[in-house]
Amino acid sequence: MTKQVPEPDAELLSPSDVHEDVRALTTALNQRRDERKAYEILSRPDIRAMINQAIASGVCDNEESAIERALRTLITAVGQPR
Amino acid sequence: MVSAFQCGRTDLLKRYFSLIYITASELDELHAHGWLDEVDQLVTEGFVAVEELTDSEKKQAEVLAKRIAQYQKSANSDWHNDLAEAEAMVLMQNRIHLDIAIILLDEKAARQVANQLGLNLTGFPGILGRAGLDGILTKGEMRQLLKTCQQQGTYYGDKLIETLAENYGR
Repeated sequence: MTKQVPEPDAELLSPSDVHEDVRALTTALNQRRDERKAYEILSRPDIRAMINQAIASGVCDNEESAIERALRTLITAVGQPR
Repeated sequence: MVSAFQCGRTDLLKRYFSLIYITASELDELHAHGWLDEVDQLVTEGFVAVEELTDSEKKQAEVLAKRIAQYQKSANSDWHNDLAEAEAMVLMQNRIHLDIAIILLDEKAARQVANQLGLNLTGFPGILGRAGLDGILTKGEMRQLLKTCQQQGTYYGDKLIETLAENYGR
């Protein structure tokens, strides 16, 4: 069977669209990569236990604040980059 | 997806996407236009998943297809020709659990409507551009791939091809 394009006469994207397309794809890929990393680390039982401990202590309201606070504490401990 | 078939680079789709969803109507359309073996191979591999829309979703898609047709350059554009793109938009909008990151659209009119809906979109040239940034494609290869699509009926403009190759080709 002859292969055809579904809509051969349709106007396609323009040169100016290309940059936005590359940017959109890059952003989507970066977001997926970040989600994968977050999933991997949050799946670790030791990490999960520490987050739960921080929440149970009442110092943090939820997982997000536990992670944010842990990072802030770490940065305070190691100091700001010069 | 047709462009990837035309230039024989479905490997680039696989590099950047773990799964591509299409609707049953899109599958039928690809079959009707001669891409049966290519798309069925991807379905068998589990890289393409086919989703059936509900009656209410099909009605939503009709509305969107008519909207897309209004933006087509040709005044006599038949909205039925825009159903595949419209259904893909409905899939992305309605099936939150599928967690669809981006919709692939090359046609200007469909892209306008997707933009209005706030959908994150890219096209096949965008995928080639990303591949260029990743050092996978040279300027010459990009030109060659899109020219191959041109020769087979997907009329990417010469200026677009040059913009892509010069800005993103290795």
